[in-house]
Amino acid sequence: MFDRVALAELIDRHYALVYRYAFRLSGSTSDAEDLTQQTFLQAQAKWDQLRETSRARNWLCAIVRNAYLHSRREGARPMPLDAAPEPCTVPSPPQEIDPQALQAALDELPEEFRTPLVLFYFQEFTYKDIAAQLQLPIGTVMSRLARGKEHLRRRLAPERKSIPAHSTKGRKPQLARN
Amino acid sequence: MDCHDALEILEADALGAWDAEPDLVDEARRHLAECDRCRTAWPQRHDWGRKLSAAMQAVVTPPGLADRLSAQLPVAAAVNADRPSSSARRIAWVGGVVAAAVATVLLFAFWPASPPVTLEQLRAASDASWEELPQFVGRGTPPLPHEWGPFFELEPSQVRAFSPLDSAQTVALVPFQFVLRRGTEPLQGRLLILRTRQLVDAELPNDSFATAPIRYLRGGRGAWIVWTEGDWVFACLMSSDRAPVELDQFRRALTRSRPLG
Repeated sequence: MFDRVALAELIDRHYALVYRYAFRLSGSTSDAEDLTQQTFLQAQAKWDQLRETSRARNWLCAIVRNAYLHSRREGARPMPLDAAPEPCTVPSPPQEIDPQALQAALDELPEEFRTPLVLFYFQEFTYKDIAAQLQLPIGTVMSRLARGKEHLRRRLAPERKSIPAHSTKGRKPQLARN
Repeated sequence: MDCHDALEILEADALGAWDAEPDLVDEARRHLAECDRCRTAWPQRHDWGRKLSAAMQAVVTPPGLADRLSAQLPVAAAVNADRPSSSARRIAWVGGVVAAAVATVLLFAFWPASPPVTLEQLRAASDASWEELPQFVGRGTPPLPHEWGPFFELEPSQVRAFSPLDSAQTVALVPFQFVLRRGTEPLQGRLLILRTRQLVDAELPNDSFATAPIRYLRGGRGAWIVWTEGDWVFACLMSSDRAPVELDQFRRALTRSRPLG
């Protein structure tokens, strides 16, 4: 049986993060609010699973993601990512990042790349947190983040023109990745 | 370590996200010191990281979201906990710290042949003294509005009979209260239920509770919503100074929340 006071505190403390995460995953305010409601309803139903309140943030985000994966429509396939980027070809960032362009660029990403990016840039989750939540090795998280970031930089750069690349041909990441 | 990993680790470290292997941060710094390409790329990578992080977090939460979440969960739990498993729905008062309480004034068709009431006559229900009203006795159990069902149940003793002035019709009245958020005073109001044939009005509304307009009660005495569902007319009245706002908050809590069960 859940503790109503604790549940109310959980909502007060985490509802904004839950909503932000749901919005970044779904790209829709109405879907994000639905997902937020579902998340706290499931949190209530699964209250016994929350062993440590210090883990509540990760626990709630895992519920959000599962609810999102469960609810998303079949057949909507995001665009595939380009091959692994050259690490040193970094375009200049814009003066300010356009919020709509950012969400559009996120929406184009396959979920397995979008989710770690969102968690990473929320600045509330470490690599270990992300790896644990997605049940992936650290190296895979790093690989997906690198490709996702490259996609965002290409989509959001003021000009799609890259700085000329120096060759990194033949170099392989040292960490295990998919 | 190659350029890929070095820049990723450095960006993660700059944002406080690297907690995997501390030694790798030192290794990435050494790589940066020795690699011209990475030294060229790093300032822009760092700038991208800061800007993407700020932009990613810039999501505005909808107004009242916390209130709606807080309102739905305890109420849903209370109803869920107390709801009987029997298929015959028990008419019971659902009390509770944060749960709602409903009291009804039923306007019921005792005398179908008698002149129907008007909306103006119904407004007087906000001034009626509930304690002084007789117990409602009808030919059947009036329904709750569709969207109220998950949150409220009727307790027969709370249902009183209200007879508008200059009318032979008898109406049922139920007071209710609803806690929007823990630690706040409950919103209070009255629900009227009557048959459509009891009401005469050229502008009989045909809406749902979610969409019907909020109307002011005359003389600054509050606000109400009147709507129909099939053969039934419902009127939800609140008589506080903040009634239009509170009525809207109450409606949003009931119509946008999704209780369990």
